[in-house]
Amino acid sequence: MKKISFFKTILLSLIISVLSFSFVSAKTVIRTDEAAIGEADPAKFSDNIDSVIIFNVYDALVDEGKNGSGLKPLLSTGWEYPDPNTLNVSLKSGVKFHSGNTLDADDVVYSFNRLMDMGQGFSFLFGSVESVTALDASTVQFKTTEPFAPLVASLMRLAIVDKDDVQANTVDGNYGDNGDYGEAYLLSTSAGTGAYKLSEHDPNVKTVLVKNDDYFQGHNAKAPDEVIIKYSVEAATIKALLLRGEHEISSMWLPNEVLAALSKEDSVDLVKINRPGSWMNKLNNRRAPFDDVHCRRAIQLAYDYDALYQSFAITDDLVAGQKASGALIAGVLGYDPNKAPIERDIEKAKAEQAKCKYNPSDYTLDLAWIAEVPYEEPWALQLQANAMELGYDATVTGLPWAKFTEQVSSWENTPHATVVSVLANVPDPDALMYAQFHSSRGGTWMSAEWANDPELDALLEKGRTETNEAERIKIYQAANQVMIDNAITLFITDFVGFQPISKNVSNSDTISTQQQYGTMGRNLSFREMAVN
Amino acid sequence: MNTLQYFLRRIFVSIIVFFGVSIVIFCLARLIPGDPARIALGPFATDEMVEQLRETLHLNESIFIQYGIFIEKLFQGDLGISTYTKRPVLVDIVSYFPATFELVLMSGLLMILIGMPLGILSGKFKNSIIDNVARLISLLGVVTPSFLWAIILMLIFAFWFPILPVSERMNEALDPPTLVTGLLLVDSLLEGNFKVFGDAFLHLILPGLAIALPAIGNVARLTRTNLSDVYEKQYIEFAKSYSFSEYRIATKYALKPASIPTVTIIGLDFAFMLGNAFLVETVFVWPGMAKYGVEVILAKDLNGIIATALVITTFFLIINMIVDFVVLLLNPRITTKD
Repeated sequence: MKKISFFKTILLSLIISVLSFSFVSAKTVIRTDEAAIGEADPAKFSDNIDSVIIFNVYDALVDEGKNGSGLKPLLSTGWEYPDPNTLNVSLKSGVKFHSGNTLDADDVVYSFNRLMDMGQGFSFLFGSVESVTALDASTVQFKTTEPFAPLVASLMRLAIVDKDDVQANTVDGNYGDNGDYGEAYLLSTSAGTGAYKLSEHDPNVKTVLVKNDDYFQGHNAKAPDEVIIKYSVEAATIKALLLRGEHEISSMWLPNEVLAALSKEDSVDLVKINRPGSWMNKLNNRRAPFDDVHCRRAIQLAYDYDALYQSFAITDDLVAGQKASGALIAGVLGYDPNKAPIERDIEKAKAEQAKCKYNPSDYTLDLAWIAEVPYEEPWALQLQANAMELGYDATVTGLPWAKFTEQVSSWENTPHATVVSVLANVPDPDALMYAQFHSSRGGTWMSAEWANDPELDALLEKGRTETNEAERIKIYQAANQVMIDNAITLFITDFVGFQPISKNVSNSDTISTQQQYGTMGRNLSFREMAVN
Repeated sequence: MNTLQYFLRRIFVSIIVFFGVSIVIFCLARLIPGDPARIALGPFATDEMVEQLRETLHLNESIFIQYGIFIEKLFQGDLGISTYTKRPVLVDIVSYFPATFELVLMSGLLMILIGMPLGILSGKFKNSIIDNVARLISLLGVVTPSFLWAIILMLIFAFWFPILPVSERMNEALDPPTLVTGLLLVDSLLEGNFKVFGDAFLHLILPGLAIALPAIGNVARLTRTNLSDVYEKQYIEFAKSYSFSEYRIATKYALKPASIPTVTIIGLDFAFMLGNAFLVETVFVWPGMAKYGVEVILAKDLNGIIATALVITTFFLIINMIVDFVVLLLNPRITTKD
């Protein structure tokens, strides 16, 4: 009996200790998760989770307004074009970095040079910038080699670092007099002006952010004191943690069956988020038979968009996709929500195929999907079935990402069609369309089309140099129509994400923050969220 | 050859094996498709930056020169920079290894504490109801992979009876103990912090059990078979005729010889756990080296791959030597000459 009592006591004390270790701290916390790996250096960030970290820890000169309201000043008070090749940006005064140093124009110049010298992350957005100089302590001048309309939007991705702090922590490195440009220091430290400071950063495990109480824009009164971002957590674990109240915001990458299960739970809400991105089946425009526009049009008209759309269904009411109406997507300048989606018409498809100079039975199409993303496979199989309706033979292959990026460097090796997703890095159509569809850009994973359309090229070049916004909208809408008319690529659906959030943070502040920003990573602005 | 000479020879052979494995891993890692520099810097990095990183990583040199540089740096304690985490690989290993090691120790302990008694019971009461139940448990353990056990345990202890923690090494609200060994149980005890000790122990139970269950089945089945064989030996009958107690026969005459093959399997299973913990670590958000090892393979982080493989190799070699030593102690018929 004594032994049984002893074991009971041990078991009871274990249970009590577990329960008592539940979150008892007075500080408020939001815990979220993403796929690895989080990058905390503002000159290297490029992915979704990197963007979440950087948007919360650093600020840029400009920001995205909510609800597609365009760009607005952030660390700047405004900007002007004295001539088409020059952009002057005025800085806000009195903004403090996490170190306590005050922001000035030298910090902006240093941040820009650091980004370009390191040549990673979003440096590719600034290829047209010739020089950046500080006109005085509060004015920065950007000179471009040609008129470059997307420059202001691109500045959203120029995170401003504290020059004095970084230089004080620079060691020997690959960048001449700039040593390592503070690369080692910024691996786990923040040197920005943002609403949160980096408190802990293990790129493979988790990142912890703590509130910057001196933030110049302030915080929501109920904003979390601490944010914990965990990496590569299993869907089953996320579900368990959400239901136990030990996780607040899930990533948007949960499988549909998990989302369907969570949709039935009272303690979790699913927040619908339109994201500026889309799934495409990228057609290789230079490889026979798709170097003939009629063959491309035929496959475009044969692709079963309804079946594709249904494959995104979570439940009867929730579909994690939206039928595409071209390359312009929600949140990007020029997007027209009333434009009709592309539809299948097999009779027209066969008529187009008849006009094509190639006989489909002479070709075996190699259709690919990215092996690391298994749910892409059905979209490739759907294309295979539709291509066979036109008389083609077709094989479907799961290509590892690394192999795909290697193959795509020559058009001869690029598959006839590859399923790829693309997100808008800034809310400007240039960043989305020029990088993918201009004939000079073939050879990257984004431009697996190897597009070679002079009419499209001319429009994309014009869109870059036109500074009048209304004109730009017309140009990009025309380019979008050329994309469809000439079947440059196959659109599967536009992104719609469903993000499960715990009732602990489900309120109008949190949900509106998640829903009303479009740029990749911008919608997890923790300072605007509220913990109930 | 005396025992000391025997072990010196084993250490020498182990060093040769270590370098052999390093050559194999070094070559295999380079067969993974993709340019490590391009993968590390991302799709938007300029070609100049990619080329510069290739130079830094010596990827433009022949594989022989690359291996020579690797060995030279290895002797200086430099495993290079991880292109995945952008940190020195040694920092990564020091960060992640203790978490996996502590988890594997827990699993090893559970394997011995549950597996051997289960096997002994089964062997002692052969073909009884106890034996049948124990065999069923062992069989379930062996045929069910660890990651499935992880999900089953999570289902039971996270959904049905939410009494045990299911993620990370300790509660986020607690302050971690001062880092000494990296093993939370040890460090918290050294600090006298029993709250953290209790919490860390609870966090170890589910992942530890998930990894241990297949090995428990293995150990139980092997112990049962060996014990049954030993109980059929004549000297056991002889002991029985002398009216020695059951307990004495079991502990003094039966268990010791029966446990020799089991000890070998325990050693191997223990070493296997280190490399096989990946999916369990992922399910339980365990910040360990097994998960890191798979991530670096996916990212073609050459330095990370080699370092992880060499740590696991070293672990295997050490465990093998310990097993040999224990077997030597258990079985006087085996000599160092053998």
